[in-house]
Amino acid sequence: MSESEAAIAEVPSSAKMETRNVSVFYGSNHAVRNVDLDIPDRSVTALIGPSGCGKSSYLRALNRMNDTIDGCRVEGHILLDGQNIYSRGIDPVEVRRRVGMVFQKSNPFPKSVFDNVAFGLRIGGETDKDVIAQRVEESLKGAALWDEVKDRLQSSALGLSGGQQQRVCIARCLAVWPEVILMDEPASALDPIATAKIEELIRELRERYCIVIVTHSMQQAARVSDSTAFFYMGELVEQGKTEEIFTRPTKKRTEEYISGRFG
Amino acid sequence: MKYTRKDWLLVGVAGISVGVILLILAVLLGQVVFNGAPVISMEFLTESPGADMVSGGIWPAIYGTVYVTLLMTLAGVPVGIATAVYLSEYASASSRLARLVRLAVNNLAGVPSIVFGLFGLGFFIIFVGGGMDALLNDGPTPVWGKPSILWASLTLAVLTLPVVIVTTEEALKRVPRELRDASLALGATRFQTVYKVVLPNAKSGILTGVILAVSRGAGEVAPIIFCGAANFLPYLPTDPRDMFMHLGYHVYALATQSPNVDAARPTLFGTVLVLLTLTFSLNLLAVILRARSRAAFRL
Repeated sequence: MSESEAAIAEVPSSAKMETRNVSVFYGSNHAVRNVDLDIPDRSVTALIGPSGCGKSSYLRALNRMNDTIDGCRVEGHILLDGQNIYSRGIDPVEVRRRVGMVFQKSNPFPKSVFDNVAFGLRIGGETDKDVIAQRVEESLKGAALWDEVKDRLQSSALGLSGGQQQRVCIARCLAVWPEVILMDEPASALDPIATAKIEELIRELRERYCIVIVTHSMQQAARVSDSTAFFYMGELVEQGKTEEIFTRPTKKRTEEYISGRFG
Repeated sequence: MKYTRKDWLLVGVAGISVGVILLILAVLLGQVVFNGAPVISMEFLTESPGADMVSGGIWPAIYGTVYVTLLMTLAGVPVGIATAVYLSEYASASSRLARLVRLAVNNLAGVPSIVFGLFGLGFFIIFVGGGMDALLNDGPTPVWGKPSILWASLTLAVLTLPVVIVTTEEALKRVPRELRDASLALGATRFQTVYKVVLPNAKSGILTGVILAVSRGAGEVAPIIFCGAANFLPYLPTDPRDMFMHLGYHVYALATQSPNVDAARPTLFGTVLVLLTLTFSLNLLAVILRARSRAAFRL
């Protein structure tokens, strides 16, 4: 923690993450084009735009998950606390420990709820059972799931409902104490009630984390986010405070998209 | 939906094929069980054969088969699994090495087993064994450079390698990508992801492949003819460098080398029955495990 605080002190900018001229390529397909975006700490940044606009590709570049895709290449600078996560000598594993991710399709391991949440701690080398148990409880509480699963921590996570599974994934992500949480359409596969719970959770998590959420739903972006970035055809068209983007967009494309004329 | 005449033709041909296969299987098994079962006894399973090969039991052949199969598994399976992990988890789609390995595996799978026998003789016994004798052994009699359990096991390991690699790779590929992503996003290294997520979730699929490979290896005769199987060896091997008796080879020996082929027939069928029981139960285990691994993922 002290290390990252020192890094913040070095950089005058208040942004937790800054991206400069970021492009993502799949082979010869230029999926994200020269995106400049500042992502502030302790707030929710929503990335919106029609399917295939590059928002998910951009999101996956923020914790180097694109490294795992064959033929994918990222150009430009992505700074986390002022340090470029793509510079030589930076271990992507370390980046991903600081920048966690929640996926569109909930993907709990076929293990117990407890083992799911403890996974990141254990691979990080934590062996103290008490520490692990405490952190699992704390993370499940953080994900607003503790009361629902405290009596069945040892049963399989796959036996939970879809919304609960997604919150297990969020708890699992919280357990490694990330600084940034990336969410790739975390509620798109859930029913309205489960979605409402996830959105409420995101608003709570904002107090402590830097959150970036990709969403298809403009209503969702309006409900949960502080700032919004609109992507179209791989380019960042417009960014700003959420209420401004939704009430007074400056670009025609943005206005057309949020008023539902395409997308 | 109504069947047209062409559909019925197809159904008819398929039905006849199934019938023929079932008939062959029934005749084969019936023959073996009918002729073999009467000779199966405690003595048959636990005693050494008499000097005429017909009397007594087949214990050294059972022992030799199990010994060779175990050693083959120990030698071949780890290499096969490591190769499959490399192909599935590490190599990129454009990797030249991976393409070369796949080419080799596919071609290896098509090589007749007798050729593996010749390979074992030429490479393991003469080249490796002979080389080791030249380096380590001063006496005139070869210690390493002769047919033995060791070389037969290694030859069988090479023979079964493609089966292990292909089935393991398939099992690894069945593990959903989402689970790998989840693990990596939590800050796991690639190795941790393979070791903690991919392999445990592919376990029963891999085990299926291993068992199929083992059952194939246990039943092969041709590769070991040159590499260490003995016609008649009424004592048990004590060293991996000894020769051994083998159920499959014993069948061949009884059918062709025995002084009185008619008298040998019951022993012959008894041996076949034991061998079939061994490989069938391994296959059955593989079928059960495969069903379990299919049921595992509903992500």
